[in-house]
Amino acid sequence: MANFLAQFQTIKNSSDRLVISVEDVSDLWPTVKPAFEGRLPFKRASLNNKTRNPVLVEKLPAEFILTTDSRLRSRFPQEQLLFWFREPYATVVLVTCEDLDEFKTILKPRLKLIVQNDEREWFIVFVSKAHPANDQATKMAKKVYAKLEVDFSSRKRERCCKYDMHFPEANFWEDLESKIMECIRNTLDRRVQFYEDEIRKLSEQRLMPVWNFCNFFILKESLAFIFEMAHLHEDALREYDELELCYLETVNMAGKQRDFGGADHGDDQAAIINPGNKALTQIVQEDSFREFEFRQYLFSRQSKLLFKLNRPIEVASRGYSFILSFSKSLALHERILPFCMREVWVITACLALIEATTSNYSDGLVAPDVEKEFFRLLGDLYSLARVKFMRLAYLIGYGSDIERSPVNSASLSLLPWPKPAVWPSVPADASTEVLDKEKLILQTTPSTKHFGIQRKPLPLEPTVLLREANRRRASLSAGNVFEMFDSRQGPMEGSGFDASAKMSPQKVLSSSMTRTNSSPGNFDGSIDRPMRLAEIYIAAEHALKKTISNLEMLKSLSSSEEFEKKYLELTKGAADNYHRSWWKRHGVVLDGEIASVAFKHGHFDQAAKSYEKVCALYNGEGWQELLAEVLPILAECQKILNDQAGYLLACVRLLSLEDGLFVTKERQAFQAEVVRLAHSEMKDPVPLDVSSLITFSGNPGPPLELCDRDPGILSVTVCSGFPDDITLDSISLTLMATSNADEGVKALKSSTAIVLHPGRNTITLDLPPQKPGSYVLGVLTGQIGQLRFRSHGFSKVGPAESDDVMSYEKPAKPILKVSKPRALVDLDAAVSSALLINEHQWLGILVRPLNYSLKAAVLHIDTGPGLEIEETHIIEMESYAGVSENDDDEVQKDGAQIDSLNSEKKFERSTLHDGKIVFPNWASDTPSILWVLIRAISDTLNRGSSSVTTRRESIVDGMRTIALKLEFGAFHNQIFERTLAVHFTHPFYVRTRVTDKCNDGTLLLQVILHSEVKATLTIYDAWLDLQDGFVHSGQTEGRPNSKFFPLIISPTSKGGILFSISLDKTNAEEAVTQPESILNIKYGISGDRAIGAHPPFINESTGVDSARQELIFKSVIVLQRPVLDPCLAVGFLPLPSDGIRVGQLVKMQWRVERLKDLNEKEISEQNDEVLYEVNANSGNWMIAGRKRGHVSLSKNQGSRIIITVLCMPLVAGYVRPPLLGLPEIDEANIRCKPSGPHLVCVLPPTLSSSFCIPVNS
Amino acid sequence: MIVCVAVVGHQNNPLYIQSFTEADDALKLHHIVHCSLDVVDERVNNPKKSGPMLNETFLGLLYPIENYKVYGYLTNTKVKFILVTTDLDVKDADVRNTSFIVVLNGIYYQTSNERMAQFELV
Repeated sequence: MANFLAQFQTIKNSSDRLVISVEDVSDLWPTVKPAFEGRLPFKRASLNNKTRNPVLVEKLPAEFILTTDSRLRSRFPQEQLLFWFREPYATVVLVTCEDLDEFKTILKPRLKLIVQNDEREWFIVFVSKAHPANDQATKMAKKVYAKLEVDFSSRKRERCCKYDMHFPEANFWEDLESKIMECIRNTLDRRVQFYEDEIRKLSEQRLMPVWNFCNFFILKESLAFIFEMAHLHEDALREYDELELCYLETVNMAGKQRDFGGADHGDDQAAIINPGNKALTQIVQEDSFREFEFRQYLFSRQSKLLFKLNRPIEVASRGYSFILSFSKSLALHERILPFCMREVWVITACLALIEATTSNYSDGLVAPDVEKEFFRLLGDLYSLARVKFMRLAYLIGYGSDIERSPVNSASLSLLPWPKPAVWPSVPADASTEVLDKEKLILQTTPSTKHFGIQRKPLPLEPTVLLREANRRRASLSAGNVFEMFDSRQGPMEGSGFDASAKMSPQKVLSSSMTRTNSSPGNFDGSIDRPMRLAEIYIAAEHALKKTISNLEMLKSLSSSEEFEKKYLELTKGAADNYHRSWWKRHGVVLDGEIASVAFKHGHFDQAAKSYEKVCALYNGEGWQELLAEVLPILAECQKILNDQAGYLLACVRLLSLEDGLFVTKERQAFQAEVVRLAHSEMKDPVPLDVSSLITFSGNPGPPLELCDRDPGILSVTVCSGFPDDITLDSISLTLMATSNADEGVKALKSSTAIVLHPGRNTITLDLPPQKPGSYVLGVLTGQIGQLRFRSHGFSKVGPAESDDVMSYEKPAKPILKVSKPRALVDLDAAVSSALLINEHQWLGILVRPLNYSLKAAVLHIDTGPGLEIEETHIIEMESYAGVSENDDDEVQKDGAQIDSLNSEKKFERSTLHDGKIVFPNWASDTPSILWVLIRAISDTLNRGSSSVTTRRESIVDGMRTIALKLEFGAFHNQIFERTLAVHFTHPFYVRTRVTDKCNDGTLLLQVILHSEVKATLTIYDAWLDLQDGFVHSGQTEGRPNSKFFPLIISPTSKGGILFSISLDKTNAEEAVTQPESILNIKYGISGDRAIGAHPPFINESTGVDSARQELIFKSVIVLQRPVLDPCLAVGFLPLPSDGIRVGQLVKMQWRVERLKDLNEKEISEQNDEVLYEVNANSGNWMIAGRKRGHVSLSKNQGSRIIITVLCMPLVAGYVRPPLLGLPEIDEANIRCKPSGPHLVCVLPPTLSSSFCIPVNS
Repeated sequence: MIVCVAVVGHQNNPLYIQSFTEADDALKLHHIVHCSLDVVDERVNNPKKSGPMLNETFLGLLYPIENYKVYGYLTNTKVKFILVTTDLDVKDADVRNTSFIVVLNGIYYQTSNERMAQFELV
């Protein structure tokens, strides 16, 4: 069967659609052909797939072929069976007949003969030529057709249909198509069944020696081909997949050594998309096929089907896997393949696959994630091609053009060298090329890194090429020399190129010469001599030229420029596709490779853009080692582009990388660049974020606590990542309130230059008064020359080992707490009771710091009116350990309190300067009392009161104010002001009372002394200076008995002194000289100044003992003559009982009676007449008669007289009656008893008719 | 041969990378590990695609590159273990059962507990 392979191939190529044979019985085909063929291809054909499930095929191409056609006639039965797929799938029998007899006799037997072959699926199309107008013919045609149906159709199956040539019936074509489809379906099912049976039979024999893969292949591919023709691509694809599986199993069976293939010219170009690359007959080998070609063939068939199924993504996916797996196979057979065949094949396969899939792919038809997957695959393909291409380029000496980046190193250094059986040797005529290459190698200088960074370049080769190539030279046994040679280079020498650069060719030559000389001489010199690197390159180049058949690829490797062009194309292709896929990192990294080429050609702008992306990628995820590789190049780009901001930033980022990545010298170079730029002539200040380089934090421990309005000094730790000291021209640190966002930020500035040493530095900043709240550090800004930097980075506080390894960020710790406004100090008067007025008294001012230092505080004292500070300005200050402190204070100032208790009581005396005093140190934290000597001045004398009148007390009288102003705090910024009210009083309050009046006119005057102070008063003496009209009775001179004294009066108690006085009747005519009496008391006082009144301060220079100090208290006492001495009495006589009326005259009567005899003097004046006067409201009363006049009244006691006045009330109601007065008599001498009524009732006037009564009646 | 093992944090930051090559070329392994995060990301972000792998911590072969293989292991806390091997014949199951769990878990817990000096927090 394998012999039919060639034929099979031809048949496959010639038939690509289903065949429907036409049995043209009545020569009708030429007539109906156009109409029939117009129905092709069939639409929405319903077929069964391999699993016998109905499938709708959108377009099914087919071809009508006459059975008489040569294509169908000349086939042998065996061929027919084998290539059954090309046989007709349906037979259409075209007949016409216009005569029933003719049908019976001629047509029917013929038709029976035709359809007796059961193998064929057939049906009859009866063509009616009858014109519709011709009823006769139409009827006849109908009859014939009816007969036809009876004869050929059965119940099971309709096999006839009628075609009216002139007016085809509407459903004829549908009918025809369904019949054709039925036939095709049946045929297809039968043939598939047949092939499946055959395949199963063959599969059962698979382990037998007779088994032949070619036969299996023909059957299997035939089946696949049937499906493909029927447009059942899924099924066809499955057949190929099974075929591939089967092939891979058989091809790898041990014991059979087969030719791999791939040795033909042009085999280096992958044929994975082109199934017709090689005829199958060419690749057949015994009972199977050569692997190299056949696997590609299978893949190409699969990809073709997949493209037909519109699945280019799957082609890419399968293709990538295929290339990898095929490349592995190539590696296994590398020894028999041309030099670098594997690499070349992979490159061409990748590029072919990319081209085929992209041309078959239309955007936007698939889901986004599938699309991304597609682009990822394309990226992978480009990337693979790129790696292989670089490897080829390296082999022919373009290694110096390849950037030694991590990505290239990862790709190339893990990729083994080609393993040809014999490493190609230098052609005899290539000596000039070798020389040129050597020159080129010598000229090439290894690329230097920027900033003088010394790094060993990353390897691009798995092992040293020189050694590898020479080792692989089959006849060379001098490998040992090269082992020695390599060991001299050191095991870490990864770069063959470097090795060659360091070793001059002469040196290599000389070493090889030595070897040659010392060898026994069995070897041919040219072979024996190890190849030099240039020779290896040239040899590889020549070998590659032999391998590569693709002119374009040859061109790409022809020169360094062409290589770079292709390299860029592949890199860009990979990068672009990766960017469109999920694999952004791959894309960005390859962008960096493109950038390096751009950099080499001076396209710095483009390079910088790409490098920035790469740096951002590495920086964002913290891959510092990789960043350290790229960042210097970016910095160099920016430097060249004069992008100062970018360059500065890059330098700062370089500095902020981990310590181990750059040596100190390199870091110093970065810093030098930063400083140089900062102080260079930059036009504008450049803002720069140095968060990673300069970090800051508050000092460990609790935050600085300040009171409201207090300035302070903030200490901050600034960590410098610079390798050397760096001078910051200015620095500014913002504080942010944690609680109040509206507060904004406060900047603390230090305008002086600060030198930061590497590592931790402590910086102090002046802190102006802040509002209450808690503050955290915000941003550190500052200036280095023209560079305005800014840092947000917080450094870790505390030892590193205590940090939780999993926590990346610590919450910001408050650095400053400003407490809310509170009382920091309290000023109060230290006395609880009144002080003595008009005396020098100590006023105690209690100064109590409330958890706040009063160091160097200044107290301003300003006295108010009526108060003066003693001239000597003596101040006493003593510590106060009173019990009145708050509990809080005791708790808070526990230690201090104990100290103050334990220590001696401090005392200090000083003077007041300009009304202020500076606090001593000892008083800064403990409460203290300040004693100020003052005197309240009062000009008024104290007034006593009699027992009948009440005391008129006023607090204001003895009140004096003293204004205090305390300036304290570190900068005297805190001010506390208070006005103290101090109460002053006289020692006594005096009340008097006449206790008794003796018959001889002596009055006993009792003086009660109320003590007004909380001090013991001692009265040494008391005397009374009497006013006019009073005299002392007896010979006491106004003093009580001296035995009474000293009289001691306890605080707030009373004492009494009795004086006897009498009325003075002698000197009444003298002018009044003393209207008031004065009580004089000589007293002493003993009291504590801490409580209140105390002995007045006397300057020590006077030498008077303060304890026996005698003070004088004076109080005014007003004495009045006795008033109970009436001599006349006035009485109001009752009014008439019937009431008084308006308009009616009323007689008002008063009786005046003399109670006692008047003095002689008075009698002479008055001549026994009394002046009287009646006063009345003229609106209420009309008085008839004399209002005023004299009446005579006897001087004798008991004489009386009645004064009558006629009055008429004018208004009704209760009105005051008229009053009788005696103007000449002192009121004190008149007794009105009983006094007149306050009001009298006046009735309204009687009826008006009463006025008609004659007056005389 | 395992040439590199790496622990990568949940923010794709390298926590620990140890390479086992003689030459001074660890950087290329950094690159491989870093780029393999693309694959991890893709798997994590495309649960549909990973399908039954969704609840699986072992991500299997990430990189079907010709000359080396990269395996991934993703913990619940999104910490990734990446292993690069040049042994092309290694089977997934072997990696899963032996080298990966033992080697990487060992390293991880050891570093966590003892806080090895190399354990660099980024």
